[in-house]
Amino acid sequence: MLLKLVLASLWSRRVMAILTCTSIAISMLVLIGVEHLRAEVKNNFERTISGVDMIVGSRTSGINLLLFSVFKIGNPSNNIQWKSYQDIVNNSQVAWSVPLSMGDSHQGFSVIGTTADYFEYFKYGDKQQISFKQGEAFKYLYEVVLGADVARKLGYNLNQSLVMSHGTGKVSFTHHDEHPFKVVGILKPTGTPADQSLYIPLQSIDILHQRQHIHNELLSEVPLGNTYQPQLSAFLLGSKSKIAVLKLQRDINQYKPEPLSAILPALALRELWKIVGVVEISLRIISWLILATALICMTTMLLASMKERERELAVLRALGAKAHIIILLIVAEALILTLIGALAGYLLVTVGLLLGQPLLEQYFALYISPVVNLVAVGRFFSIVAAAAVLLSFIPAVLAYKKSLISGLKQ
Amino acid sequence: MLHSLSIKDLVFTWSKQSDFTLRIPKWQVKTGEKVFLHGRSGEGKSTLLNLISGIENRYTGDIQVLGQDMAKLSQRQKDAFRANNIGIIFQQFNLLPYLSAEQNILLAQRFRSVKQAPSSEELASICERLELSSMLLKQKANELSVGQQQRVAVARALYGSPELIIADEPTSALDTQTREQFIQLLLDCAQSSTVIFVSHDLSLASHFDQQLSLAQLQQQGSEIHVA
Repeated sequence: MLLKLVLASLWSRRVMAILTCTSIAISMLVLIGVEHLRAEVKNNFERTISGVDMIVGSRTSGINLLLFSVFKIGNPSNNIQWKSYQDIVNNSQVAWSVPLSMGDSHQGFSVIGTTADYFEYFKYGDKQQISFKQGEAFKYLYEVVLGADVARKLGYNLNQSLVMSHGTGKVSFTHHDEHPFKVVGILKPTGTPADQSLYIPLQSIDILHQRQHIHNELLSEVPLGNTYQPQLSAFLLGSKSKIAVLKLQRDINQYKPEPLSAILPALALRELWKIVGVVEISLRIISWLILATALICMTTMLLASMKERERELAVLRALGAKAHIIILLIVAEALILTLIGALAGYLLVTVGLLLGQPLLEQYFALYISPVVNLVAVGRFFSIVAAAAVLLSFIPAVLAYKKSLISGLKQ
Repeated sequence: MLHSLSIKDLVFTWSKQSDFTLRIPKWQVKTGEKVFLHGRSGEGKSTLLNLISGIENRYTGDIQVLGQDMAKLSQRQKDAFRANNIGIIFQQFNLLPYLSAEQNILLAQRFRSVKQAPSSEELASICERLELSSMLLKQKANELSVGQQQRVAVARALYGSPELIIADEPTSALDTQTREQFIQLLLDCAQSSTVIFVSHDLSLASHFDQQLSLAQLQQQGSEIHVA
């Protein structure tokens, strides 16, 4: 009965009600949208690398090492000698290792010299292995495996020939066009920077830089071996036991022949997120401010509508409606407006994500899940509903007092 | 019960207009009596009705409605008492525009604590007497003509057979002919109830058993009848 009364009353003031709902919906859209984006970005960030116990580079800060080795941002301060690499991977605690050599690019995408072990040991997300959408890992010198974004954006297919450029810029004046590479594999998307790289055999990097020169025509059939001793930018390590990781890290950090840094990826990621996290907090504050504005607008709308509802409430009082019914009417109205607005906001976010996800993926390489975290949404709904109830008490109590004073004068 | 309303030594002072005070030494309305109360605008007629119906509480003295001492009831109990026992007809009829005529009539019943709802026969009987067709009952209140609105307002006040009916200048917006029809309709339908009808229009006084002016009531009590 009360609900019927509230709905009928709201319907009679529908233009104002729709405007209020819209403003709440837009605020919820921003709040849920920003929160979802924040959670997804953080999630994607944390998913970047997993299953790797340690990243080793020449002596530098942990964040720098993480940035250039995983995020492909910046450059290594120095290279690691092949001998140092061999010394470390021969440590009895090391289970596996993946060498990385960077510094070349193709159409603005970084080229990573590595071994086929990369595709086995480099994991992302919840220890998910990189898998191939087409083809397989390189077996010969002039073969290349493409990250998903590289293949998609540049429209490359298997067996296509590519030329690498020297340096990491988008525009390079030095092309290694005497050494074309054949595409032998295309990776499935991972939603990490791994999608935005090209992978070639470690030895090929050395050949590109002509530290080793082998004639072009013979190379395509040259199998990989340990003949070449290239310099490395970094390498990934897996240890035999988790307990040994810290000791191994200490040993590497104290490695005498060459100054090296070993970092634990999870810790370095957390450290890096702290820096990025300021933006996260700012975003949250902004979205909450927007919501607060919408709720205040709703209270203002309720207060403004009290004037035109004076008679309605006085009639209800005169007919015997108890004080709590008058208060309940106003509070229920605020709650209904807020929940409809919030629900509309949630639906807008979901529809927006479904429609916008391909665009985000295409233009920003952002893999945002279209499924909003319902626990977070539920939390927002509860907070917003509680705020609406509290705020609506102001006009509700005023209306009750007014209805007592005005009595039957209407 | 001999008296539906009994007032003794009532004093009400407006907080912001302390120079103006409503004083009623004594006023009694017999059960079933139809009373016409008139007075100038702003004299305190509506305030007196608010006091009787338990909406206004700031008074000294004694107000007994249907044998109940209003001072002894909490605000909540007063609301329930009003819903259960008093039917009110307003100056502008005050139907809720967004509800249908039928929903308006049933509204007061929703607030009653007396659980046994009036039978649908009672509603049908009231509507028949007031010539409210079932089609008209389904219409929104703001779609009704003034004449139809007044009949719905009377039906709302009568529904549930309240013992006391208070009408606060319900004819002020009506022309003379419609006014006469309205009074007749109200009194015909409310034969078993006590009616206190407030108006500044003296021409209506003859329809009622007792006629009073608020000014006289304030000075001398209820024994004075308007000539």
